[in-house]
Amino acid sequence: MINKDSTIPCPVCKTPIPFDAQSLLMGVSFSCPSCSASVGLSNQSRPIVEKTMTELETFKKNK
Amino acid sequence: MADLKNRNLKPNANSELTIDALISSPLVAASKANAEMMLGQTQFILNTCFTKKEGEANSYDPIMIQMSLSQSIIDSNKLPSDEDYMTIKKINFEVPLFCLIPINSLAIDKITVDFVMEVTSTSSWKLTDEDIDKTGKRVNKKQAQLNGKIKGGSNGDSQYTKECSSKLAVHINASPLPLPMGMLAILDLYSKNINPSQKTKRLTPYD
Repeated sequence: MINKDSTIPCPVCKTPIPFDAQSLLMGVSFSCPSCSASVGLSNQSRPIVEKTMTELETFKKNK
Repeated sequence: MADLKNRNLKPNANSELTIDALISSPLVAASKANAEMMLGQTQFILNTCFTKKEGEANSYDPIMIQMSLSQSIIDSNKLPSDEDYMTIKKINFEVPLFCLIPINSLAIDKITVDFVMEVTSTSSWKLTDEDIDKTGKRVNKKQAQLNGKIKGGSNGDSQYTKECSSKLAVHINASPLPLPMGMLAILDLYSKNINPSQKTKRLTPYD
């Protein structure tokens, strides 16, 4: 489920692109609603994002 | 009259308190709980999304991650049947990790304090002219204060056994609230710098 509060501005036309961090980790790309440019997570950054998301889940549970 | 200077922290269900203290105590506790939640969240963000600058106290660098952008570009000078009629351009750009993490701004947004107060004493006093001058405002010269304790019920069927308990019910509701202005400002600043800058040919007087 895409959280509409999570957006990233399109590098081409600056339109906010809604995305979901978990889906990005699974390799999903999100398209700009204005110019159809597609943004996705690079393979080399996947481990660090995965680690951060795991830490976030642990933090939520422990809090 | 309630002893306001009494700092004895031994729990005493029958101690007399001012009405201000009875109402404000749960609210102050909730406010402290809110502050603790915010502090924990801020510390988590600093530890996971930023790295401390060496040699500089309280100075952090954002951890950057790489994202890829692909866009299909159609050459209008060519025919659809041509091989390079449509090309896919791919570029990489960097984004602060902070902009991707779904940060929840969890906070207490509703508190209900429910109790019945048994008024044990009241006090009133007159403000002196000196007090009124200090405030600089027109106030009622006569002030009043209610003192009491939380009224409890008694349990017990037998006339020989009774348990007395005081009841103060505090219902708290916490939910995600909009991110604070400061955090939104930081996200906005980082987002505005995400766009890759376009390489332009430097014009010379001969062009």
